[in-house]
Amino acid sequence: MSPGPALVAALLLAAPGARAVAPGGEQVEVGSKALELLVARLSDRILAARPEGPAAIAVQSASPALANAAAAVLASRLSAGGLPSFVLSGEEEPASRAQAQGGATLVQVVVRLDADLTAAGELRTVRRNFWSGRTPLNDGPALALAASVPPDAGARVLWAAGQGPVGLVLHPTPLVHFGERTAAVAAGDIDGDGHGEVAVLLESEVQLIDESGRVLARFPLAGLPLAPIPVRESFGTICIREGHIEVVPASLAAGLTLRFTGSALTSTGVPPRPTLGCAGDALPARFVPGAARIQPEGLPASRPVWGGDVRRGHKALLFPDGTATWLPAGESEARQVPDAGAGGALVDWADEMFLAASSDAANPSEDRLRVVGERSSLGDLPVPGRILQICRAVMNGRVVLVLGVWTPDGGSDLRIVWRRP
Amino acid sequence: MNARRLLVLLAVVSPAAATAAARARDGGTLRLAVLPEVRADRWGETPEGAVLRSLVASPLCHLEAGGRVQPVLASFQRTADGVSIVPRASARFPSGTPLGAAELARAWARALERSPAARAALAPVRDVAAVLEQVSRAKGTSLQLPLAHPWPDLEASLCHPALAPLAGDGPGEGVGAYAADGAERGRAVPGFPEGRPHPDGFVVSALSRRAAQRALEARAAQVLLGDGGDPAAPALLATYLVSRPATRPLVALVEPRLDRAALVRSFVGGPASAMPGLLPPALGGLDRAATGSSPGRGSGTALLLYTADRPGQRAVAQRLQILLRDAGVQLTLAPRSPEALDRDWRAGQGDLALRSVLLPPLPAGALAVVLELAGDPAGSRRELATLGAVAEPAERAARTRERALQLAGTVPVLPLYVEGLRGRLDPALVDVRRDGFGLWMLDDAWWP
Repeated sequence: MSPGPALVAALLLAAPGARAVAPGGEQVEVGSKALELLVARLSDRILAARPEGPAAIAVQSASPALANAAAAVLASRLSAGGLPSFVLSGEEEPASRAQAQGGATLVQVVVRLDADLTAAGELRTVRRNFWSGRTPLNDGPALALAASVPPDAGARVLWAAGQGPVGLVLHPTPLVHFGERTAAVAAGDIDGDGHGEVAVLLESEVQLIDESGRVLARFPLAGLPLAPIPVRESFGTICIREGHIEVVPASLAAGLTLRFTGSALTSTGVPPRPTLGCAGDALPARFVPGAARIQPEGLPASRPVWGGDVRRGHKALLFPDGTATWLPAGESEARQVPDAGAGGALVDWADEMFLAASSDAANPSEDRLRVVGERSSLGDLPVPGRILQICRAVMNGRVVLVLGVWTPDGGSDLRIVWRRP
Repeated sequence: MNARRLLVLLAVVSPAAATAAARARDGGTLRLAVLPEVRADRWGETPEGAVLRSLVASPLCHLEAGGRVQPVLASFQRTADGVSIVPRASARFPSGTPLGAAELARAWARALERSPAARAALAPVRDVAAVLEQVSRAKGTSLQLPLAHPWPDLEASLCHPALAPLAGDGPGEGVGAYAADGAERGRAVPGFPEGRPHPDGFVVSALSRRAAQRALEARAAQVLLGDGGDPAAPALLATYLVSRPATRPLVALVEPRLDRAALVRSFVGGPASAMPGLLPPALGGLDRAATGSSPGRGSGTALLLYTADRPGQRAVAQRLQILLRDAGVQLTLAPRSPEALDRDWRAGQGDLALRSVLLPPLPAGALAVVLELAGDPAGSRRELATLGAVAEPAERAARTRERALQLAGTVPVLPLYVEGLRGRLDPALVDVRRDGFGLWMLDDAWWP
């Protein structure tokens, strides 16, 4: 009997967040007939070529969950068909690893899902003809493999499970690209028109940006008195409060309160203080001179932070040791979140509070946005670049996250992430 | 034994604190290994030498790869007839002396004496020597540079490493993120205008190529200068053969015999490429030489000046000697130190000279360097005034490329080859980017 259905069901349940996704809200059938059919077509073609066993199976896919499921089902089907098979571990140089693990034949396929669920690849021997002299020759059957079937819900779940966390979506294009680094990002409705705006502190200026990424106004910082002990990294705090932008660049001697006139930003002359978070219960803080660190009041002076957020009684602090501390509202017990980076924000989605944080990797080409909630987790979302700022925003009536992402060219992007309803 | 094992285990497992790094971590010593020729480049005229020297002698500004000018030691302001340069209050020499307008003017007056790149960068300034002389004796807070003609690329040109302000006559004392602590070491300067560098200090070891490579592999060094390189990065250290008007026939003998690609392959080494036009390929110059005439023959003797401590120049000079011997001319080679070469050539010594200059990454600024090497100030001013009048950058660049093609046969400057930064980095180093000159900005370096 085919080992397929039970195995696929088990793998589906093991796939991260697989049960949470029901794209379009339909009922997900546990198992994937489409994947079994696809594998059946591949295995018929492989068995017909009568290759030498054992066969090593290497399946690649953008979704690791889909690759694992396809490889496991193919191995068991081939073994049931009389060809001893095993799934190759690791990804690099499958031929030499297949040989090292005792395989005689290598089955290599790539599985992907677009309009159809497709598999394409090859079958070849990994035995080397020792007698062919200095030129290494592989002989034995070589066969191109290709199959395609209409996808079903189970296949879609497996595909989506590897495509980032279920429910978090990164807008495919940046909202804005800057030629310099972002130091702080805040969101709010500055003009009360019902549309959200984003205020960004850059190295040389403050920009106010609308929901479509258009620059509404700029305020240059050149010529303002510098901090007595300068800081090398772009750093600071920014908030939109009561129609004003309150910005404190760590590189300057004092902060600025900027009023938006509808077309320009003008300084009111009132210097604000840095805070962690922008809500009413934001934590007052001060910068650590010469370093991109901020010291919240009430914490021991030896524990400055990268940043933090306050929202509806919840407090989150991001520590330079790569951990975040989350103190939920009305609780005395703090929750520790490991592997948290310098960007973090509290965000309320539906009636649950979540902590969104970047990773603590030093120089990732692809950072991870991790979102954990009071009761659930939304998993990790890969984001190209290095996430340094995260803020909650309301855009087009939807609660989203705005990310300040440093790019390898020395500039930065604003990226938008939302939660699939 | 058990207790010791536990300690080792703790040391391995516990410091999540030490490895976590989404923002830069301060501390540690940046370790550089340099080849002897990099160490010998005291004035930082090669890309490797400029990178090393920038640690203790920062340029006035950073010209970013995208073209943005990021002020470091001074800010710039356009005025009605030129540019006003205001040194930042926190820019101080290691002695404690602030970098004032007078110190900057004195430093530039000395730079003009030794560097063609500095002379070219300041060429559009009206009566530059008189302006610098006057400011160096006054107590002003800003240095006003009046322009003889419009020159939109002035600010970008002022970021050239040749204009990094130095306190004395020697190459040592500049305003850097590090203060030199002997010849091999530097310590972080907390009050540096851009903020202190992340490491506490740096240490430089001059090593043979093999030893330097091993040091990088063994991670005993994090930066290697003088070996390796990225062929895709901008290559802007251009080498030209300049000649006296009387020796133009000699150049006519060299040119048809010259195989620039073979010269690069056999004598210069990568990352480098042939430069058949006055502008390097990275700035849109020719990348293929026109097929020349048949090689002629001459006679007599000539003297070629070249820079002694650059291995590539010595090899190329010897190659030119052989080419000219085939043509019947006896070429005598005269090695010089870089500063002596500039002085002696301008004093009229030699018939030919090999000149290597780090070009600014803007075609008009680069052509200004070529014209400076050609040694015709009046002609140079005429050319630059026409190009500076084109306000739109892309159009100015295109016009400059066109003009470079037309000038190629008429100026006594024969382009040979262009080199990029030779160096390699420990992949664990974070935030080391290249500026517009293709140089690493090591100030920002840190590691988790």
